[in-house]
Amino acid sequence: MKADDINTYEISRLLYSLREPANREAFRAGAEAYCRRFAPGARGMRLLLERDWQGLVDEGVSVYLLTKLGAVSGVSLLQMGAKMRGMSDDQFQRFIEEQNRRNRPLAVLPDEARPPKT
Amino acid sequence: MATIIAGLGCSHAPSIAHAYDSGNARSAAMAPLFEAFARAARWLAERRPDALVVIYNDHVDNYFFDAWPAFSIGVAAHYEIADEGWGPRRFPSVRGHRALARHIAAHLVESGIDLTASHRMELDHGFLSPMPMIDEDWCIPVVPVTINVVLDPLPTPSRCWAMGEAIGSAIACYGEDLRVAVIGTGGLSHQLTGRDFGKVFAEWDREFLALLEHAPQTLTRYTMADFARLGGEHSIEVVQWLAMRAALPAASRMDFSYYYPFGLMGYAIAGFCAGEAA
Repeated sequence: MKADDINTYEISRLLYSLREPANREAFRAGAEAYCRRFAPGARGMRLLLERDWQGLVDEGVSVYLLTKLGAVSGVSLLQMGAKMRGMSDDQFQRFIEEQNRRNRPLAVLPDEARPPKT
Repeated sequence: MATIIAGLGCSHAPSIAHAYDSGNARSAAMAPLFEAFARAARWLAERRPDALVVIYNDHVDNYFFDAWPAFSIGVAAHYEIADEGWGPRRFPSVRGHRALARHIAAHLVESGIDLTASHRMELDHGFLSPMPMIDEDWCIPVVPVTINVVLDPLPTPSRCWAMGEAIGSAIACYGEDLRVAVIGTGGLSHQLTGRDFGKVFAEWDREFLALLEHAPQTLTRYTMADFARLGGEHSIEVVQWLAMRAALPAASRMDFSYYYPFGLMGYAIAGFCAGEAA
């Protein structure tokens, strides 16, 4: 197996399998051993074990499968997003708050519901 | 004969489900969205729907890359709740309206829309996120319809429109007296990968809602790539709103639309009155 081997279909199959609680338990007990049940390739294995979210996206792995890896790893979508943007969690939070402020005038809401002041 | 009595478009982001399940629906951040949902739910309840046709997309929770139907319809008596990685949400299974589903499936094929029938479907957040607000009593039978927005090649927006139109004509020629609401879930803008992760395209979202209100068919001239460029990669789910609008009589009018750009999403909820109301 070459060091740059990667099989996106196998990675996807692996992540899809994490819908089963028993598989999540097995993954938590030993991520590498669990991944070896599949054939992600050497580089695929590295990306999975390093939780290289953007690296996996670049290889064509769907973000809807990454959320399953996030769920089993205790990583939220927001934390994943910060990593993909190359930001710290705090920086990303500030970006989102600033964006909320900027977009607030475009909200259209029922009378009694106004966006929160931040 | 069955009648379409309402159309509803709404977001289906997992954040809606998380807020609902964790009791955060009343938090300052989420209250505006849930108030909009509450209003939409009251509006829909006044129209007394007997069945809901719900057009949504699966997120690799039911379908997988071995084979992914461009369009599919659930023809089962019940649908289970999908386990998306955190365990299934605690809701009873959802009752299906089999007779209506089978009629729609047959009519669509006769209309030139070759879709896949699923006798077993697990419903993920694409279906489930808005549903506890829309049908609080969890009792209105459903017909789930999916559009592939995940595995290339994707159907074109104009094909999604044609599929929606065929659903509309199928409902119109269903023999039983039934008041049907058509729901399209997804969007609006969001981008969940790369350097633009979390970007919300609020101006485009407002333009999309305006087009949907005043000139919905012009949206069929957009490609999936156009939607991805204008509203972020994952906003292409708006084709479900197109299919919903296409299912309604042409003269239907938008009764309300709410829009809340917040966090990672441009959240939206819009209701269409389909001719004969309540």
